[in-house]
Amino acid sequence: MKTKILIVGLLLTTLLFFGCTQNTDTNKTNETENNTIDTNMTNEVEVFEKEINTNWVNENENIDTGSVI
Amino acid sequence: MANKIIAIIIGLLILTTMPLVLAEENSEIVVDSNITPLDERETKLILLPLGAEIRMTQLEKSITRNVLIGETILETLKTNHTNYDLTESEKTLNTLEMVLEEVKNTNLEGDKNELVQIFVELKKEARTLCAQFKTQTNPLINQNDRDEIMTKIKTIDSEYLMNITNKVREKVREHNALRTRQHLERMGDLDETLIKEIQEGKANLTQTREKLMKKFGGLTDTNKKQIATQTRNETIQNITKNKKIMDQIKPKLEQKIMNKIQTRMCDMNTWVQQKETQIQNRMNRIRDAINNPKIINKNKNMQTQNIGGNNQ
Repeated sequence: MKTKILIVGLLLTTLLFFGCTQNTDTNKTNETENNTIDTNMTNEVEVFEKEINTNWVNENENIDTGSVI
Repeated sequence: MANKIIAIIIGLLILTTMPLVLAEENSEIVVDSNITPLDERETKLILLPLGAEIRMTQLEKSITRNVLIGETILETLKTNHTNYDLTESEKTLNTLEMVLEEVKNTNLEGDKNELVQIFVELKKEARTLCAQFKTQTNPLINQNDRDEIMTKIKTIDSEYLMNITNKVREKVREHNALRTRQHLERMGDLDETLIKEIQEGKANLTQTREKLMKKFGGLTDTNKKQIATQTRNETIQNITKNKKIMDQIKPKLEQKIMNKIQTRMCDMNTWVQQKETQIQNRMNRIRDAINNPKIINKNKNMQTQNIGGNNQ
């Protein structure tokens, strides 16, 4: 009986370990969705304004290659 | 029975520790291959006219800054701690400089899809190397070193990066002016004053948006619908195209970056030699010029005569 419990325990620990190491980045999908345009948008004014905003580049915008210090 | 249990336990132990062992083997370089929504936003611009020039110049600026800061860090550490071995961090910084040269030499007239891929790879490679440099040097930096480095960084930002900052600014203004021109042309109201103001940096996004929205509001409902549909379709087309490229890049990105870094590390000796020769040649030219001031004066006189001749 003890042996069986031990085996089941070890199996569960292993499964738990593998489960933790998996990359489950669920936020990624939501963030990507926010980046896309709403295809059902019917208000012309909103569509046009959004287009101006998204394609305008800010002069002070930087590419982030990380920090060395 | 006991043997079986031992075998199962050993098997499970091997299974659980294997990923850790493999991770340890690759711990030298942690590749940043995660494509974020920000990356997608940045690459979307490359598909538009002038977009590739803007993004590559911005990337050049960012890497240049990190290379200069990296050099400052190494210089400070060498001066303050003569016993430190900085060979590995020097290698990383040299590799980052090699990436910078590739950014500068990228052909911006090439295929847009390829440019998106090149941009992502170079950016992620730079991020990987910067993080690696930080990991290598951070434990060696004490508070005094940090204060000294921070003071020098201020000079880097205010003096050494001015040219490239202006270059980015000009390209961004040109892009924004071009986009505004397209909108105005569609509305049949080409306002050259507004375009000029954007090019000269006198009109910002808020002012431009207000003016464009005012003009848009004055259009008929049919025209509004037509222009909105056209702009929306273009944007969707752009996003879809960008996503398709990203999906193609993602699976192989990590391996590709790792291979590129390793190749650069192998080519480093040749690269360092070439760099040393270039510096030596420059030094020789300066030395010659100092030793033979007549040559300089002669050249100057010739230039003055040429200018004078052209003016006549």
